[in-house]
Amino acid sequence: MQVKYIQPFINATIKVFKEFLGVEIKPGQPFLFNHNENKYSYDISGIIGIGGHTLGIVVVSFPKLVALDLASRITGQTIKIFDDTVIDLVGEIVNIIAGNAKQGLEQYPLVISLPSIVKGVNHQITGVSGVPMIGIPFSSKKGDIYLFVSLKDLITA
Amino acid sequence: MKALIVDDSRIMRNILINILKETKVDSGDIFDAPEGKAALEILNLEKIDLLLVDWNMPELNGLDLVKIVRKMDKYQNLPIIMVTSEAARYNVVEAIKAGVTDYVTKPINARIIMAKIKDYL
Repeated sequence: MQVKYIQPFINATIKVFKEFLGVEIKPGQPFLFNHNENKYSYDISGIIGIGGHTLGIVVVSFPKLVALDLASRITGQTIKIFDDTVIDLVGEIVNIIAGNAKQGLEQYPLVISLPSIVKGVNHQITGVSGVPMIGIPFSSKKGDIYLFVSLKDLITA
Repeated sequence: MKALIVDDSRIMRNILINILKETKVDSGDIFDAPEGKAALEILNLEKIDLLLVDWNMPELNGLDLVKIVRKMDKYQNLPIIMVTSEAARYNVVEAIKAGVTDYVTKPINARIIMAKIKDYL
């Protein structure tokens, strides 16, 4: 997977957090994700499959406190558990990130799936078989957020 | 003046409902649906004057909904604003070919979408 495919997802993530959620986040150093050596902590993930001129997945993972804070922020209500609102929000965030990232990859027509949500302490995330998964940590005031992208090399239209 | 919002995200529907409430649409005339099939039921029962529709939804997606709506006699001239995360230009072209009147990408800017809504009401 070429690194140039990652930047549109980073840009889209920063934009979505700023414009949709009103939260400034800063990207950290990208890393090659290996679940067996995972030192990162998260409790809920939004996952979107990518098809068309490639095959891949995009995942956005949140620690519980960050997800609850974002859901509380956008609804104006205090949310203390992973309810339908949190699931809805996490799905919408990853959906908007994937859709916006397509703008930076327009030479490769892509199709995005509906989001799926996975919950659980450090649940396992696996990318496309044989394709590395790149992780990008983003720091926010409430904690770190993780973007994972696993994408086969794209085929120009 | 009746408006219908179709989006599988309840959060997005609520955001758009709140924006519509700031226009001349009465609260009682704002309808919403989580996907296209449920939206079609409302479109058949009511005479909707403005449709805000997401693209990616379960069951019947927004693009297919727009194609069906444009074949309905009473909705030939209905203003349809697609509000979607699909930000690529080829998506915009596809949506316009399907019959949308306007296209707004998420994350939405409330002022921009409100101005567009006011243009069509």
